[in-house]
Amino acid sequence: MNNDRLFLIVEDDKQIRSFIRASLENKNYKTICVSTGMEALNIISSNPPDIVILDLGLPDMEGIEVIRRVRTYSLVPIIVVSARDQDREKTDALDAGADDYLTKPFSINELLARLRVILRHSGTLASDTPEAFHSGDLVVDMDKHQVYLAGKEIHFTPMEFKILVLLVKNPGKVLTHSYILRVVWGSYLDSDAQSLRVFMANIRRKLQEDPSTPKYIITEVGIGYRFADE
Amino acid sequence: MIRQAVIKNIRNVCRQLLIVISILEGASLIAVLIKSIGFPVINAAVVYVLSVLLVARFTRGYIYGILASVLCMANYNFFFTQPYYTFIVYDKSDIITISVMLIASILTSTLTSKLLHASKLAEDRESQTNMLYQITSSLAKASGVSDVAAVSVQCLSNLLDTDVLCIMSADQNSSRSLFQARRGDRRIQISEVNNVQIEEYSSEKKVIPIGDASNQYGVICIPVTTSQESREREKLVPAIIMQIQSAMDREKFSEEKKIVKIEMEHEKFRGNLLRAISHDLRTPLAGISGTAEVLMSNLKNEEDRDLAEGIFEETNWLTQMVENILSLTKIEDGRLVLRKQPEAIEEIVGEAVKHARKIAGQRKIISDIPEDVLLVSMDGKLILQVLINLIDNAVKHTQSDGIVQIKVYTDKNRVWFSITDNGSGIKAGDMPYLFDSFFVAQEAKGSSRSGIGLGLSIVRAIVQAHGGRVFAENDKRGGAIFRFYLPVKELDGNE
Repeated sequence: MNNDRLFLIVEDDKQIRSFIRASLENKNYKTICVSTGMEALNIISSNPPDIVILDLGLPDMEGIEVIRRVRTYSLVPIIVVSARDQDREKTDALDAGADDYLTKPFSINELLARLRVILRHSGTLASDTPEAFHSGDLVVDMDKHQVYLAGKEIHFTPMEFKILVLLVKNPGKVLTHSYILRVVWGSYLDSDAQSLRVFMANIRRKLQEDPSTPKYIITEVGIGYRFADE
Repeated sequence: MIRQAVIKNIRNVCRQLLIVISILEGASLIAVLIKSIGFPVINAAVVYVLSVLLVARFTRGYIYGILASVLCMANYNFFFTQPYYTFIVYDKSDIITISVMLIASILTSTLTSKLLHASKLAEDRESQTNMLYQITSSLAKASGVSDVAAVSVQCLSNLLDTDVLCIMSADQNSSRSLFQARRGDRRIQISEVNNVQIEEYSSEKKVIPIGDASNQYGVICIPVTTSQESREREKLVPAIIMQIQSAMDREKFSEEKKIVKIEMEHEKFRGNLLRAISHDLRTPLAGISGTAEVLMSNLKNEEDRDLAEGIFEETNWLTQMVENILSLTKIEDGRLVLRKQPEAIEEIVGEAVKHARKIAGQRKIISDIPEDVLLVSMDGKLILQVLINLIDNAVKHTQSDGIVQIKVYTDKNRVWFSITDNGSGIKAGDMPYLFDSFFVAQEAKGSSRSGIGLGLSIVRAIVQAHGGRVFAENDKRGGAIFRFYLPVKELDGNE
């Protein structure tokens, strides 16, 4: 049932490439494997895949450069794979348009879960989400600017509502701090990073979230936030 | 010593007197010759005056000149004025001649000896200046404190024309080296000496320290001397000692700098090596663990699946180790850049608790954080790692039904994090080494998966980089408490 989906794996390490491929083929996905950025760009333009799994450390060019070039003509979902101490590259990659990231060594099950989330939403653009959003007990009415939790209306300030809508419209996708600030505030100062934390804390309280067992808003420490999508 | 000097003095006086007498004898001989030929006696007087001048020239000090003048006039009176061969004078003009000649010869002799003295002084000064210059330039060329010491004794020995010793202060090896320059010998003897030998060497000598009390390089020993000339030269010694000290300062500083540089290079090399190794281990490890995971789901046979799971777990453990080594070398190199941002404590601790629940098994995880939003400037990732390391540690040291509590509270300008468990606690003997790299608690050493003791040293390094401190203690009710604080500049997290 999956065999119409095509995955592009861009990774220079042979072993990692082959186990990702093996696990995807187990699930009957089709895969193309390449080891350089140039090859990846050629494939993406000639034979567009449904998802790109991109290693940030490529021999011929920076992974971020690949993302930037792809984003000039394609919205294909990109999931980035990087080493643990490449936080800055990770944030940059997300800001450049990557959809999600994984840190090496990653669990295959984790990768498959992320891929499922991305597949579920691919093809639907953030702008054409319906007027009302449902997730568990939470209902967000975009038109009327109303939020309901277990049927009860909860008061959100305009700024809190803006942030919530942004998250809700990108379920499963990691939104970096600077992305949220840019979209919600327009332009922003460093001091706004502080306000963002406070707004998030308030939203969390209103949604009765425990940060250690989040139902809706997942913290990506040092990176940003993600709306849970299960 | 002093007796020798006196004897030398007496011999000197005798020699001078001998010169006086022989010149006068010569003069008398010539004068008698002149008289016997029949020239006027006044010529004899002139010969005597000349002899006084010669005496002044060849003796030291005007005493001999005056003595010679008096003796000459007495001679002249004795041999050449009537009545002959007496000291009586008949002719009044002879009295005038004798007195005028006496005064004239005394004046010229003192003048000559003064001139001689002055020119001698000038010569001495010049040679002293030369010496100082030579000493300065050879000190400048010396490299290393001991080389400076060797050059110093050589120069001082040349200057003072005597044996000179330099005894260096004890260094780390507690042996002291002795530099010995013998008079007239260009070779320097260097030997190791003990305190008893030093007593012997420095007894009956003038001992001059190099450097001040807090930083004394050693002492210079020179023989005590009484001679005028040597004392004159010794006036230069303090100036030379100053030169020696500054040369030693310079050399010591550059030696220290060299050592520091070598140590730094060494550290850097070690760090780079470790990092390179860990870095190259990383990718293959990710490959192995991923492949093992795929095998775990693909293999049909349960035994094979267990084997694959074994590979997976071992690899993950190894990966953790590599990451820890990488973090630690990074922190120790000072290459750790804190990306500080105001972070909400509930987010960071929430993530840590999430992790704790994942690894806790049957253990109970309790978290207790303030109701209000609390923002603290920190590198969220690193503080999360601190919490995770402490939680891992607590889980490792508790029974499978244990309790781990994570608590956050504030006092004036600090926010405190504490991780409490009800496990076996910390052994008193382990307490001082807990946070040291590669320290593993005694009880854990036997077990195969104990780690190599980097978790807590990473904790300490990260907390300290944030300007905080970490503490470990035992709970009175049993179990261990690890606490750390972070400084808070402004607690304006509330709405």
